Amino acid sequence: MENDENKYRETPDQPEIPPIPDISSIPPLPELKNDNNPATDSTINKSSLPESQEQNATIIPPVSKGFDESHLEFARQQEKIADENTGFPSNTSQNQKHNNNLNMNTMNQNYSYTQQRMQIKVPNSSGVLTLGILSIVSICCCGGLIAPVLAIIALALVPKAKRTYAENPESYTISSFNSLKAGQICAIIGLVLGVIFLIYMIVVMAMDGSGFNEVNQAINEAWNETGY
Amino acid sequence: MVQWLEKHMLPCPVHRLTGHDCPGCGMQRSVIELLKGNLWESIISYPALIPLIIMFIILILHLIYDFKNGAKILKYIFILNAIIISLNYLIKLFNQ
Repeated sequence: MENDENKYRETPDQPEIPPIPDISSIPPLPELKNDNNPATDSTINKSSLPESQEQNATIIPPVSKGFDESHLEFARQQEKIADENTGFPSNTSQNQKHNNNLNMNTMNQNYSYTQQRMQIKVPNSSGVLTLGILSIVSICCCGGLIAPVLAIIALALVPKAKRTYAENPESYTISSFNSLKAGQICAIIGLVLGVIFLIYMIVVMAMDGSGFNEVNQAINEAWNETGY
Repeated sequence: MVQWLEKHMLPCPVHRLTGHDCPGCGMQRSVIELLKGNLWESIISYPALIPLIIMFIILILHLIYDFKNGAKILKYIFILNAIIISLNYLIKLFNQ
């Protein structure tokens, strides 16, 4: 992998991506000469050239050997500019400055890519929200029989959606995740109230008539005793 | 139209089976009062109706336009609604 060595000489471990700097603070990139002449292409290893071309080649040697002072000058200038701009990581050796300039092209592309990346909604988030809200509305309208059903359906959709969000949080909108959480809470409350009401209904139906009146009288007496 | 609604009210299955109120009893009367324009009678017969309507409107707007804090607002209004509904039902039970 000698080709890679020419590009990334003495590179340390890649640091974490720094915060996105202003576009105005990014220094202008050096023009990379690419006139399709393998002789002047510094990324090609010398020995890979065929012999016939090697004789005619006027190869610009890599910067580390220090033959070309203009590259060093440029690299020093870029180092000063980069130090003023706090967004970029500052490497020590000047080779790395030059290589950093080569890398900067890709880094800028990475930043603009993340800025432009479209975020999609967490799947089923709006469904969970509507089902959770409908579950308590159904207690009022339809007699509280279908409320636990709707709430259970909403709660069944939540774990998978949370898992898909956890795998890749950056590619989903935060508001849809908040909708998912809110829908989960609504569904839990709807489920609890629905179950309580269902149990109450069953108790009432079981003690049809007389039994219920006694229970009600007992509750009323206990309430009156509190003196309220 | 309001008179048509008054004459053709839906029966409550819970009321038919047991004779007791369900948590939604009074909602139809409340809607009719609201359509007539009597705000106070509407609130008395079913206090949770107006918060429920507000919640539905915010839900539909949130689904279409995707507000940043929409889910949070919905959560709080939902809890408020649940409290109002359950308190209303408990008070009705005790007053029979």
